[in-house]
Amino acid sequence: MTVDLDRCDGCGACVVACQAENNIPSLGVEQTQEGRNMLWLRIERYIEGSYPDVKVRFLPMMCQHCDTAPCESVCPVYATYQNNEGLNVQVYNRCVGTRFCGNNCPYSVRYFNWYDPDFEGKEKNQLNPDVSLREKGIMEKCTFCMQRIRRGKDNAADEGREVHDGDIKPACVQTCPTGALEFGNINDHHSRVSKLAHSGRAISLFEEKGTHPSVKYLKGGTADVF
Amino acid sequence: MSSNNVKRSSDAVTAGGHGDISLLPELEAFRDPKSKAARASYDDADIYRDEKSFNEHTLAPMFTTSRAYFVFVIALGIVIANGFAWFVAQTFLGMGQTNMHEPLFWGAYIATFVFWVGMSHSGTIVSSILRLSQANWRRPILRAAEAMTAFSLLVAGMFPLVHVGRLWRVYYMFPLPNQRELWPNFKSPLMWDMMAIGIYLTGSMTFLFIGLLPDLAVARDKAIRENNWRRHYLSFLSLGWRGSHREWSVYNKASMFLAVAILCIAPSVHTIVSWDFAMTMTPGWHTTIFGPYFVVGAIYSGIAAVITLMISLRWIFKLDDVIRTLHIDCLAKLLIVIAIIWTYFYFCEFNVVWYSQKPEEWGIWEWQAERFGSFLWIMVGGSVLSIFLMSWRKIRTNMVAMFFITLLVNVGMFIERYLIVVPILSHRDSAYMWTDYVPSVTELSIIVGSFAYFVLLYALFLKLFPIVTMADVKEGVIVSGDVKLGRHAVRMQVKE
Amino acid sequence: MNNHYTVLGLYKKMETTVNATPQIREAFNLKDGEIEVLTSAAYPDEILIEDKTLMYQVNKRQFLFPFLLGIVGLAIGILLAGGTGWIMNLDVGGKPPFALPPTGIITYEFTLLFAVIGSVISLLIYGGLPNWTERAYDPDITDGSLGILIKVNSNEEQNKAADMMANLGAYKVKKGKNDF
Repeated sequence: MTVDLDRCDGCGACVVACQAENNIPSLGVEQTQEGRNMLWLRIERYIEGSYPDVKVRFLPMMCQHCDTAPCESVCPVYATYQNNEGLNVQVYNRCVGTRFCGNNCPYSVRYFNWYDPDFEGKEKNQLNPDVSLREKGIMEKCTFCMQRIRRGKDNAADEGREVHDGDIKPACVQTCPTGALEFGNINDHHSRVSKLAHSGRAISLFEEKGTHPSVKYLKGGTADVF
Repeated sequence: MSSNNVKRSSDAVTAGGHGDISLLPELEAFRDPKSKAARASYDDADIYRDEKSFNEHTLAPMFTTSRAYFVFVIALGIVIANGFAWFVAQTFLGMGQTNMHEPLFWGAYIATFVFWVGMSHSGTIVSSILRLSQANWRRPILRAAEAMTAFSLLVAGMFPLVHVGRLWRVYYMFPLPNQRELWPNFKSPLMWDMMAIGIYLTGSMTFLFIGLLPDLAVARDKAIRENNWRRHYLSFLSLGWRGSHREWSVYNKASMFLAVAILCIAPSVHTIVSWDFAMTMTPGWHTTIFGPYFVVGAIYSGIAAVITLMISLRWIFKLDDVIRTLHIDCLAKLLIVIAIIWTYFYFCEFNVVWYSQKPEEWGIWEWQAERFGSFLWIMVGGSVLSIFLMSWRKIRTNMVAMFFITLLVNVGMFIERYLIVVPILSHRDSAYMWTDYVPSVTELSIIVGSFAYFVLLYALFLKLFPIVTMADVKEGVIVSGDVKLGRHAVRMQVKE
Repeated sequence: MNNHYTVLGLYKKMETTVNATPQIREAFNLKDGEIEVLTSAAYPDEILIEDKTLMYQVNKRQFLFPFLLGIVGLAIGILLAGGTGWIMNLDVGGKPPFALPPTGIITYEFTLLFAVIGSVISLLIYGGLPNWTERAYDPDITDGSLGILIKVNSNEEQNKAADMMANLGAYKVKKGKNDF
């Protein structure tokens, strides 16, 4: 996935889309004040300069699906591991809730179910049947919309073809009005993501940690491959 | 100190037959409780005590129970019940009952866990080092220290259970063959931790029990003679110990071996606990010094706790002639050494960060100083102050002063554990997620309950098992004697 | 088991006991394992029983169990930490399926665990524990008396031994049957 920071205007549509797609409960005022807002994708605001020369920078932050993910090796029960698509997956049923993974994630993108999720009234009717609900006491995080990846692959297999670039769109990518988010196969040299990720604008967050994130952020410069 | 308790009947059955040795005049004067020499001395010997009254005296805490004891136990029970109730509520409602939140996934529970694991380190380390080096002054205090190890580990072992999100699934972490065909991940420091703690608990319980065997026999004989209800479990647990030469010979070898094994296990345990932190890439945790630093910190808080405990036992059970000022003095000297090493390590850790000023690491120190400045001062200041104060023998032999100094050390060490967990997690790499944390009522109740639980375990142990290592004291009497060197009589230690 | 008779003489002083043991031993031609000294504390070797050939053998073998079980622990450690890594073979953080440092740590811990268990087992086996049966014993021993316990084959010998022990300074002599 690539995130074009220069295009992001911080509207938050991706956050809402993610929440709707992945059955993330909205926790209410009290829990949010406690700092437990469960946002698999969050928009971090950084304010540069002082009044009146203020600039606000937005940084959409989701699980970076690192190649050498620090969260994986510390889990005592293999609840999170690297699957063969290069995704960092979380197996809810295995998780016992030691929360060690959360401590070892430099991006702080892992979330814990402090309480059982509580979906009230209409919320209940709009749950996504493709995504499992998580009980209290387990960790969860962005899956790159695993269910959409599966569906995209299944459709392609049904039609007897390879997955095309653009077939699979996570909810956030689909929703982003400015087109700041792109998703695709980075190993496919013709994909848009691959071209963006190999352009001079691409950076990784906390590169010095050696986590080799799959998410590349694009920043500065004018080169546009499209 | 209280030489009045020392009985010296002429027809006494003495353990080593030393009743025959006529006392040197100087020594007689020295032993006279009213003499100036005796008052100046803090080594009032028990070797001329008759063994039967020694048994009676040291078993008194076990066999005589006052009403205050029951009141105390009930009070502890209430505190524990309160903590347990909050724990049950937390399990059913969810971990949200705590004040932890992203990205502060570990809080006061883990700090307390580290504290209790640390406490457990003095007991066996002190007792096995002293056993192996055959330090004579170790003898009466071994049991109390070993029991402290076992119980603080039991309490520590409880905290991961309190901490995990899904308590009912915690068996996923056990290496058991199962239908899920899922083994635990041994690459996780938490697995090492679980194994190490489990093995240390097994080892220290074994150490405690093997050390108990001869003393259980003493208590058994007394219980049978007095038809006390304790005779049932004492006869069972003493395994039919008779004190035959064969038993002693095998026992000595076994306890030496166990001392070596425990000495190998204990530092590895706290190193592994430190690796729960140091193996992550979290700034502030990811330091190589954490292993030895934690081990020293553990021994530091542990020895301080042993001293606190010894002074309390002395005071409550009037054991001043068994746990003597000498022991507190010797332990305090050990504590000074450890305190200096700990302070040195802490300075190393700080200095490296301060000099390089790497923002992600120095930021944590700045945040710590701003948010927990007074805590930092109590911890570091307490440590330096205790080293300074304990340099005087007058303070080392002053029980009240030592009680408060060691208490201060442990308050400081609790703070240290809290400061290792909380400021670092509330100041993670991602600046957007910087946060603050104060433990909730649930957490505080459970932590207070854990302290009460430890005291309760110890209090029950006191009433069920002999607290003084009697066999070791008797052995010390056998292998020692008074020798005249020039004008002075000196207590001699014969190496076994 | 053939019947035997026991005599337990209780002494108050170490000197008398040390004096009495070889005499009794010679008079009844007792072999190792037929004479024992019961004490309330560990006396240094050779003070109470001068000939300790048997003891020496026992002590040597006492380290066999910890050693063997330590090897078992070593194997279990390697199999658990390394072997299950192979079976599961999930990629976690780019770590290899068989990673040496974690295997080393787990192996170290398990080796020590089994060595501890082994030392307890050898303590029980070579110390003749646990034995909850009624045996020749006197509670005075834990109060500081020393007991010489011998095993003889006939009633006459038992009486003779009892007399001899009393003559050698025992303040109390106990006779028993089949309870060595």
